[in-house]
Amino acid sequence: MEDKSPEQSLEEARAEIEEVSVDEAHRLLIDNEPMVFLDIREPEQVAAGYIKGSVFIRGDEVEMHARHLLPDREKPVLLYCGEGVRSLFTALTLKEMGYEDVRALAGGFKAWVEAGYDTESDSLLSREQLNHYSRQIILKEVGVEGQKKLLNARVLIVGAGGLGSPSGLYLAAAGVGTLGIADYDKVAMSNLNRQVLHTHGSVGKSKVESALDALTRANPDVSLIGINQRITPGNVLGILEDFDIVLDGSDNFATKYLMNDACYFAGKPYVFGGATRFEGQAGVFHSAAGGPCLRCIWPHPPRDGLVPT
Amino acid sequence: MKVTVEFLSLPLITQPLGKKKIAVEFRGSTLADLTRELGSTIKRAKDVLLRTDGVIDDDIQIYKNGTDTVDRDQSDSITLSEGDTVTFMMLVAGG
Repeated sequence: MEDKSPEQSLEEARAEIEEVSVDEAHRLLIDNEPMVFLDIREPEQVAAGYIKGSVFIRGDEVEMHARHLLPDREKPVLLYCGEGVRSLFTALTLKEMGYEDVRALAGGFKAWVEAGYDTESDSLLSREQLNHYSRQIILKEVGVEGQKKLLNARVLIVGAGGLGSPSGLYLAAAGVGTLGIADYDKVAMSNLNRQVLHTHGSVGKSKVESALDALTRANPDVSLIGINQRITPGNVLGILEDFDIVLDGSDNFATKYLMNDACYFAGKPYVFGGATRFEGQAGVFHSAAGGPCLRCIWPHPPRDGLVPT
Repeated sequence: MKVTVEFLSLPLITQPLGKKKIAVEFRGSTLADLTRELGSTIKRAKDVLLRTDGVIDDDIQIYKNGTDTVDRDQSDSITLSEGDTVTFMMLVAGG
């Protein structure tokens, strides 16, 4: 027997299943028409938001749970998935099981959200947060719980330079709740090819000030702490108190070994980064969790003159 | 014995060499034999990799076949096999 292409299968499903626009679905919902809204998406997707009053059965579990959760086969069912494709095939399954009136939401939940219709969520995240972080919340590895952890995390970025800049932007965009930026330098024109927090307009400003401006624009949801001073053995432990983890993008061995030592004594994870020319190194050192520290691997910085910065 | 040697973040060696990875044929079978060979045949390798007493300096990290960390103090007793890859790596600080 000749295999059908995905396009042919989709076409056949569309011929069998009536698709309902989001506007029509919204009307059905607010008019309280007798209709079951069946959400067949993954739990991580559902956690980020769903249509009010929905019944939830994952697409691959419909055959197993439909009889129990949808006992009345005469009651119309409107299925929706993420983007409106999978629901068509699952609707076919329901139809084969004897459900008389099975329809699918055209464009899925994505179209519903884009049309601006209300969604519900059981998480404590705001609607805006759910929308901003939705593409990572739907990942099993993150989910709403992971996003909450990110929002509660406090990360100190040491150095707002070539490593600290992209790190800061990504962490802010991803919703790390509190970011500390430590630097004591000013923005120079020669920084701009790689230190993407800074722009022509920030040349001459302190890197911390420039970084806070850029990170606020990237995500105003993030609390920012500027530390416009040199980190020294005298102040490092006090600075660390406010943070859970250190991301070290500094540009010198003295600071890197100082941050490593401070993290070791404070029992906090130390994320090392170093780059030169076309090479980069990264490592996570968390001695409080039983791992080595930077000094366990490299007891001391390289001898003078061996490594360019 | 013939092995592949890789130098990471060691520009003093790789710049004159023009590459980061080379095939090295050497007499013997231990890491110490290999480093002696490198020290005598590759420009700057002796100064960069070895202390004045000929022991591998502890600011060099060594890996066998990519993942196995090698104890540099045991280089006389660490045996290599034909086709192994030995990586020498220096820490970098650029940010």
